[in-house]
Amino acid sequence: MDFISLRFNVFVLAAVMVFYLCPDRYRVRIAMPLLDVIFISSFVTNIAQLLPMAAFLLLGFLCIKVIERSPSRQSVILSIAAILAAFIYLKKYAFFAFVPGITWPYLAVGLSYIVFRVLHVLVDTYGGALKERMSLVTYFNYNCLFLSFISGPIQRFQEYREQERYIGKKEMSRGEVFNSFSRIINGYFKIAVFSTIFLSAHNECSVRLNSADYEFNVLNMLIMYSGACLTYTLYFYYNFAGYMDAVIGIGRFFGFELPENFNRPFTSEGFLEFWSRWHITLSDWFKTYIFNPLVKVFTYEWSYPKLIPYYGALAYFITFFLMGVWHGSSFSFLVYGLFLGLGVSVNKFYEVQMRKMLGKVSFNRLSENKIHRLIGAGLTYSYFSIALTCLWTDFDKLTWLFNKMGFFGFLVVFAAAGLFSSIVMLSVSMLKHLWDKSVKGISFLSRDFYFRQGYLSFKVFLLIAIVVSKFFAIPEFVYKAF
Amino acid sequence: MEERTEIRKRLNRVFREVFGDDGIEISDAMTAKDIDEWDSLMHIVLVVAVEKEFGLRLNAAEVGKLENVGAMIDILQARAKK
Repeated sequence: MDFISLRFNVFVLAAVMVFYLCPDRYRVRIAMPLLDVIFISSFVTNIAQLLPMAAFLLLGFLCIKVIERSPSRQSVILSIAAILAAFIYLKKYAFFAFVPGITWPYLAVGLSYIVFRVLHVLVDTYGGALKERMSLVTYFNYNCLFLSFISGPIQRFQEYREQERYIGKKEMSRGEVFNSFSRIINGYFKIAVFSTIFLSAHNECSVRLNSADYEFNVLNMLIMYSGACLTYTLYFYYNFAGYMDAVIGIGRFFGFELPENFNRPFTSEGFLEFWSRWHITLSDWFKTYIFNPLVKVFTYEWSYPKLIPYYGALAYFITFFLMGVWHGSSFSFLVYGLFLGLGVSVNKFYEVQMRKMLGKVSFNRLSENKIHRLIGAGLTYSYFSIALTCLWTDFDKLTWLFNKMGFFGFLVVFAAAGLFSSIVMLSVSMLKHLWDKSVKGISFLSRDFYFRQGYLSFKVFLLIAIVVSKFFAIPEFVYKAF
Repeated sequence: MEERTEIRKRLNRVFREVFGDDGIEISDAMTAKDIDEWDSLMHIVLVVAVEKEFGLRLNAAEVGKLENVGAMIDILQARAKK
């Protein structure tokens, strides 16, 4: 079921009704798993396609049960290895192409997120952070909740469990209902309008980039490539953030408060900060279960204070490299991982070196300098946009680009697109400032409930007009593929 | 309460050692924002130093939850009771 589809919306409507009509004691045990099964089944045409995922879930459950009974180091390592091996097998990673796979087509959507949830529960059970014994229903509901099944957010089990206890028991106020609707509409709006516009701009650029004429004009090629990069990032953001808005808004009608995944990512002034604002639940997971344990091991094994920044750079590199590779099973994602790893390591290295050179006070003053912050934000945006190339091209195309533009070409794009982005950001913030100032007098309107309702209805109307007119081909949810 | 003061004293020593600053005075509300060097990396170095000082191991979920000094003392106090 696609998120912007009649089918999905009918499903949500029916689900809300079933959910509230259902007697209390059956809500979590019967209604929820049933809704999840219906949702997941909509992605397949026969039951056999669900078997590999069911087997994977069962493996995870058995491993957790083993750890609950005998929480030994050996059993946790073996369990993690088994789960990762099964995941890599089912995701058909290109580097393991020699292993014969399952011959029939099967459902892999959602698997990438289930693996995070299962590993988190497993490690927390071992570490004693989960006190209760996992029941099969809770395990299934947590892993397969239809709201976050396709692409997260990755909610922590403890948080999920706390909310599950109260679902269907909380009443929503008029304001909460309005805000949730508004969140959903805003989400659909981001997908149907903004992501669609930026995708078509991206397509324009990439079509030109592919046409043979540009082979003879390097400058044009660099410009088209920059355009394709910068617009893709916006498309990607609006598509993913819009999806998150919709999911979080819908979740509230079921009593769930799903965690946020975005916090104004493009205001980040460095690549490290960026990852605390972009796909937050994913980076939190990597921080908790990869980065932290890695640094811990390094520090315990070799406790030389002078080496700490280098442990950091190495741990950042490994963490982000793995995060990149997780995104997909082809070789381009290996490059994506290298890009991410390099980006954060260089960012960390810059921080350490500058603090050493300038001293603490001067470095802090520099970090607060407006121009430094603006250029930092622009370069972060352009670096991330270049890294995302790996998501819209295949490996052959990537090598072709690299051969044509060279390392120097990429550097030029990075710097020029960064500067361009800084200027755009500056203009946007100035315009926003001007706008805020000029509408100050009518700001009482934006607080007025009826005005807000009217504004929302206008957006709904516009949305319907766009969907009905088929003027735009609304893109599918981009993150589903990972 | 006695216990908490004692834990805080020991923790303060760890903080001074890890961040190489003898002027640090910790308080419950103190977060990473209050100490320049306290980033994700130094957080783990701090955790390791705390683990060594108090002779315990914190699990992944606990390490992630230590947002401020108060939370740190809470966990250490809870562990001390066991």
